[in-house]
This record gives sequence, C-alpha cells and structure tokens, in this order.
Amino acid sequence: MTTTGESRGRRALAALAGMARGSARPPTPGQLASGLAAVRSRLNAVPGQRSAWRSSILRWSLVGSLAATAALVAVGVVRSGRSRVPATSELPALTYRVEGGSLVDGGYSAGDGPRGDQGVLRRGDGVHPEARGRAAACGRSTPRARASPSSTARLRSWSRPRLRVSAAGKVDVGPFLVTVKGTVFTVSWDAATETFELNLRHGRVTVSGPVTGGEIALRAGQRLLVDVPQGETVISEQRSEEWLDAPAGSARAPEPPAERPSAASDKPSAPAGRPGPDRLNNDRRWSVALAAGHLDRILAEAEHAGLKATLDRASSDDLLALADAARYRRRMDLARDALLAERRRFPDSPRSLDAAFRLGRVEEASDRGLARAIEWYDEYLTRAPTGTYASEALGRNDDLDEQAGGDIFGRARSRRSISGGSPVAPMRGRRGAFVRAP
Amino acid sequence: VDLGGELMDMESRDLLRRFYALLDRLATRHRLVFALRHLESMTVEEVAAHMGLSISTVKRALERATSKLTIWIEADPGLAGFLDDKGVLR
Repeated sequence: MTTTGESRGRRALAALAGMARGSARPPTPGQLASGLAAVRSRLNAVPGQRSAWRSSILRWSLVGSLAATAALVAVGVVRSGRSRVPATSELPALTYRVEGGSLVDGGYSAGDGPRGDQGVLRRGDGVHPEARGRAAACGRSTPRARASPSSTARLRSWSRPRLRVSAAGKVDVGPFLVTVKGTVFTVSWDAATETFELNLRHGRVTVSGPVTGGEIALRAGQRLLVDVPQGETVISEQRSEEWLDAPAGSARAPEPPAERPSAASDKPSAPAGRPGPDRLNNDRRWSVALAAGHLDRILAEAEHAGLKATLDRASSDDLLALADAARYRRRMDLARDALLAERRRFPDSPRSLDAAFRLGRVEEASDRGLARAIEWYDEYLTRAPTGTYASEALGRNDDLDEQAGGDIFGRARSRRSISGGSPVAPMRGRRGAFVRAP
Repeated sequence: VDLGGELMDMESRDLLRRFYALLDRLATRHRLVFALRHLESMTVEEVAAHMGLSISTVKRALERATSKLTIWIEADPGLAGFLDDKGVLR
C-alpha cells in the first residue's frame, strides 16, 4: 500500500469517526454507566468461551498423549520381544583415555598441569554404532572441546561441563546439543558465566539449547555465541585466517593448544598461523572490556588506533562493543558510525539487525529527531519481526508516536507490510488471540 | 443510528451504516477499544481502566483496529467515493 493511499484511508477513517461521533447525542452519565457495564459483561463472557476452548484442547491433548504413550509401550514390547539387543548396561562402553590428567570420582577428569586444566579426553576407536558414551570432566576455567570426523574429542579447561559423544555424531556440552555432520569445530561452555561458544571450521552443525528456541544451523566459518543469562544468541562470521592452522579437508583435527605444556598456553601469543585462544579472544577484547565497564578504555583504544581504521577493520563483536561504549558515554556520532559500519561490513549477520535496533536507540538519544529512530525500528521490525528486540522496538515505536503527537490518524506505518499486513505482527503468537463477539 | 439534534442526509446515513458494518467486522475487544477511544472520546488511560487492560494493550488494539479499518475503507470504493464527493478527502 502506498503512503498516499494509506493517509487517504486514514483521513477517511477520521472523517467517518468524526461523523459518527457528531451524529449521536452525548450520553448521560446513566447511559454511559450502563453502557460500560454492558461492555464489561461482554468482556467477561469472552473468558468463558476461552476456558471452554482450552478445556477442549486439554481433552484432546490428553487423548493424544495417552495414544502416543500406548504406541510407545507397544513398540517397546515388540522390540524387546523380538530383538536380542543387550541391555544398556551390557553395551560396550565407549573408551576414553585421559592425556595429561586422570579420572576422578564421578567420571570426572582432572588435569595434572599446574593449573589443573591440561587434561585431554580422547575417545577410543571401534565404537559400537549403538553405543552411547558419556564423560564429564572438571577443571578450573572455561571448558573447551574439539571434535573432528575422526571422532576424537579433546577437552581442556573444563569447569564441570558435560561432554556426550555418540556414534551418531552428537555432542552434549552443558545444556547444548551439537549434532556433528562431518565437521571440525571447537565448542565451549562456561558454567560460571553460562556462556556457550562454538567455532565451526568445516562442514555444518546444528545446535539446540535453552535459549535458541529450536535448532540453529551453522555453516563453516561461523561462530555462535550464546549468553544464557542475557538471552543473547549471536552468530558471526569468523575471519578465515583464524583457521589457517589446519589443512583443508584434513580428516583429523590438529593438536589443540591443550596438549601443549601449560607454560606454553600462558604465553600471550600463539605460534604463527595458529589461532590460539588469546587470538580468538582478541576479537572480543572490547566485548570483555565492555562487560567489565571499561568504557573509556575502549574509546581510548579506538581513538589511538584511529577511528576510521577501527571502523574498517574491527571485528563484528568489537564494533558493537565500541558502539555501546560510545552510546553509554553519550558520543552518539561515534556510536552511529560504529553501528553503520557493522551494517555495512556484516550485512548478512544477525548482528546487523541488532545494529538496526541500536541505531534506533542512538537516534532517539541524539538531536536528529524521532523520525529516524522510528525508521530504524521499522527497519528492524521489517527484517526481524520475531527478533529478540521486536517487542521492544514495537513498544518504543508506539511511545515515539505518542511523543510526536501522533494519534491513530498520524504516521503511516510501514510496518503494515509485515506479515499479512498486521502492524503488530511481531507480537503474533505471543499474545492470546482475541475472541470475536458472540 | 441516533441522528442527534440535526437531520442527516441520506448519503451520510448510508456512510455511517457502512462504517458501523465495518466496525462490526472487528474483533470484540478491538471494536470496544476503538469505540471508547474515538466515538466516546475517552483517553487511552480511561479506556484501559474501563476495560481492565494495560495501556500498552489498549494502544496495540487501537493500532490494529485502525489499520484494519483503514484497509477496509480503502477497499470499499463506495465509501471512499462518497467521502471524496463530499470533499472530505480533499
């Protein structure tokens, strides 16, 4: 719909409402009270319908559950009667050997290194296809695991994560399940901060977990970061040079830094061509600084390196951290530039969408007026109608409308084009459906 | 339709009849919110208080009702034509 057509429609609606308002005598207080009572009684009748509808759903759900349970039981009886599959306890257990560490009570492994984080857990060969292995290890810092098509799993720096490897190629780490599909990746779960990180080098994986709302498919070169307490899920592109340490298509992952002596891992830089943890973390150094509240340090480092160079070369993480630091320090121009750089350099990344929402916040706080903020919120809602910030963007748009003095006949909303023409499409599914009048 | 103090011409009556028909197509809550806000001239806060809803819910309902009515009015050439003839849209 065009803006002209929409504003014409809204003018028509205004005229009709005005005509309807003028055509009726103003109600007396008694009439108004009785009318409102009728409204309330009508609204109260709606929940009754809803509860009946819910009861019906509940009944059918119960029937369905019982049927499914019966089917499962029947299948289990048939299989147990016909097959000679040994009980789970009789299955050959997966074998692991611990390098640089030892097993302790409860199936956990502890590193023998000075920091206690050098233990390496290696899955044995010749795993029975039906076998399920489970291992867990404990250490002192961030857990990290590496899996490769050779079904080798190594752990280092674990802090009570759980790694579960099956022949089907699935890895449980913390509350996350990674389905391996001929791939090489590193995965970590920090129980202390409840953050999950997966760096994918070859192939593709899917990840399911407590905040992803389903499976997330990743392809080679992508990094997934999940901050469970914050409810943030971020997929970013890896720089290709981070993975130059191993030949492409190699069937076996290179030796991880965990297998080196602990003194080596304490060094600030990894060997040339190998992306040591410090190098990986380097891309997120400002994210860490931002979390620690070092806003001025981020801004000082960016200025020291040159703002233009920073905007052209900084990682996606760092650009967003820089934008946040600038925004918190009320340097809106720099925040805007960083967010625009994020959108320009990483247009297909989910963070580009986050940047659109944050640009709305920046414009709201700057002197450029509210119109630009509304445009950015609309842009976010258009591209991510069910995104993390969708409801917030919608709410802020309403507030801005009100601040701008807009009423129902005000601004033509581009949001209407979203998902079936509903301006509140982002909220669809999160609210109960309104019940039509009886 | 209560014509109030002044006699309305036939075209206006027909316009209102069609407008009320459109209102009837709205969901109950949307229709009530719209009517209280724009026909009874209540504030958003008053509508929220009378209907036992939050202000943001009322705003969303208003927006949705307005959008639907606008779309329906635009799709009704008779309505838009009447209003155009009467100079409302100029």
